[in-house]
Amino acid sequence: MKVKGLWVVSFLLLCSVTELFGVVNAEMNETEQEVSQNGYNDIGVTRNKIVTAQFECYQKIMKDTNHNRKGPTCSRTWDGWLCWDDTEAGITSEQHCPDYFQDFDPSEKVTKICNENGHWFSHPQSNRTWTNYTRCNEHTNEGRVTAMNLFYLALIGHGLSLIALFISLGIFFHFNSLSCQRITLHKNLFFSFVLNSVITIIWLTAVANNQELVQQNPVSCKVSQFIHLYLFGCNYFWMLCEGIYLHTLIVVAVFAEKQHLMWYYLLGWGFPLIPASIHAIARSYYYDDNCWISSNTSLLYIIHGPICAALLVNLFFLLNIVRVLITKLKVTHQAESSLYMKAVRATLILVPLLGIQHVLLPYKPDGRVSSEIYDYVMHILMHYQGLLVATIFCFFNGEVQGVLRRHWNQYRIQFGGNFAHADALRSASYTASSITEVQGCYSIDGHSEHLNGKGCHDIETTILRTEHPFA
Amino acid sequence: MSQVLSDFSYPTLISDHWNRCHSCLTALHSSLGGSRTLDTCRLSLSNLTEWIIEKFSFPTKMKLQTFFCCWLLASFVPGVDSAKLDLSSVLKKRLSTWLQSRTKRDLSDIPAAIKAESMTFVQPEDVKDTLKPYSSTDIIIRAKRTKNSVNQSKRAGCSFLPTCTVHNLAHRIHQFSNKIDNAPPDKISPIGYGRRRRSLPEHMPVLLLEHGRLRLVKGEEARMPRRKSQVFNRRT
Repeated sequence: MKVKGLWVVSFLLLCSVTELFGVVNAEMNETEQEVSQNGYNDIGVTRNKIVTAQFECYQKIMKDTNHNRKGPTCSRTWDGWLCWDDTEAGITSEQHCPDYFQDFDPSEKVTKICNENGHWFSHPQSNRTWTNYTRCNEHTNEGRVTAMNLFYLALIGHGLSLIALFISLGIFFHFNSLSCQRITLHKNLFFSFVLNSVITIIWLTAVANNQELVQQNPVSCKVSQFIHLYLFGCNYFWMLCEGIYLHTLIVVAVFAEKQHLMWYYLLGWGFPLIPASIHAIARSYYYDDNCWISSNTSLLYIIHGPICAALLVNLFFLLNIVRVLITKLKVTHQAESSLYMKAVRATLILVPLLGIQHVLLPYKPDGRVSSEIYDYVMHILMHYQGLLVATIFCFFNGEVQGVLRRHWNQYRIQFGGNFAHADALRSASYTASSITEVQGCYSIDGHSEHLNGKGCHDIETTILRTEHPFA
Repeated sequence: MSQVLSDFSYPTLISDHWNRCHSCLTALHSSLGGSRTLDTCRLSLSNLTEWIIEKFSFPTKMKLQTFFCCWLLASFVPGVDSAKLDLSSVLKKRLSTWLQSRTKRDLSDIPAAIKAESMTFVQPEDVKDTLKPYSSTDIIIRAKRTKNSVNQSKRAGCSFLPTCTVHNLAHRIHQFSNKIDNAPPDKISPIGYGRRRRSLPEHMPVLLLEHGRLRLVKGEEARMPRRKSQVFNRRT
């Protein structure tokens, strides 16, 4: 009863999110005209930045009175965008690109050459003193293409994930025989995946890709960022819940009573509210940019710190679970190769469920090409995780497949009875073969199987070969 | 069976872990900047494959724990790093405002020679063309400097952690959907920045050093927008 109430609440949440975006769109339409009148003030901001930099540069030039030069020196100067110090002859001075324009990459370098004669390099074409800014936007177009690729990759990934997750949730809810604690946790995880996918798609298409909305900076778009971060956190904390549940089941409380799911609900849906709220408050005080869309602030660590901690805890759980598996497999004196195969299989199954893939690639490399590859890999891992989890834990799940086959065969016998007798015979033999098939694929007498649908009631028996602790 | 259970008695495992983590953390804390601890951590990270091989042949508990601790530490280092960056930028800002106020006071007693020399560095013609747009628009010149300091060499914020990729993607898409704010190509080209123009129309605004103050002069003094000159006077 309580669980059903929770589900109703979460569906209401989903509805309210969609409504919110209706509001956002409406607001956007209303004020669209104003925007076209006001125009953009970004160019003004850029000019402000340049003038400020220029002013600081002149102050610096006047303040520094260190004139003990040795040999010919190019004198300090303001070139129009950047400030250059006194440079010895023959040396190429370097600075990071300024952030005045959106197509300038601040990680690239600007160069200004000081010639041997103590004069700044002048361009042969124009005979004017010239600073090389060309590297600043050299790769901008490639960057744009990559960003758009990643954008479509993310949308497709979330779309596929949504389809798979909805089907899985449908299966889990329709077949009551499947319901047990583990499946309940799966349902919640899947639901958090669904919500996260929906809000991410909305956020990427309706806010990030919509310049006008960000320019207007309505409150609703900040609220949606808050919801986005909250659901993002929920997703990872449900992964943590799965980890805690499995770990408790396998390693810690072997003989424990049925676990109280209340705490899992609190951790999964309740706890992420805390970092999301702290972030919202801190953001509104210290870094209140338009729609809170910028990722150039360390305040985001308020969200990602707990998430990474959760993932690390999950990593620990995974290692511990695999260790227990291997120990117990060793006890039964199985062949080494099959033992490792089973351990590896269990690990691979658990990696997407627990979100370990994010911990295994913790750092973004610095190089341009390598960071691009890293981006692609991380985006695929992140946006297709829902699809992967739904596939492994629902469609490839032995229980689910068994239930589906049983229902399908019942349906055929019920409605196909009018057909020829041979048909019925064939279906009967099919049932038998399918059952053995299921047995063959998913009921290998191994311990890794309990991780994925050997039936939640016989987990304990398969692990410990003891009597059923609870009926 | 009983051996297995004793081996994985949960509370002792965790508390043991925690002590180890704690000692690891205090070690890092004591050596601020923590190069030594970090080095050992990096070392154990590089021995990952070795560790995995050992793992499968049942190493002591110790290895797992140190590894876990170091991983934990290693993943939180970028956060600490960037936090430091933020702090230093705040300090820099304060310092620069203080220095500005200092220069304001000091400018009056700068020796004449230096003043003359700085005049040679800052020539009116340098100033002319960047100020050109302002002659018509008259907008507030004081920009927010906390967010975008000019020489922002290291990218601040959430760019290291793998879970940040979603925000980074949204940010990038937002940036690229803004096509107006590109750098003007003519200023990057050979006739672009770094130049010193020799001739400019007379009615352009000009920054002049008068009595140790930078002043904005636009053709005739009378037509100059008041606000702008005030802003400049306040800041010099």
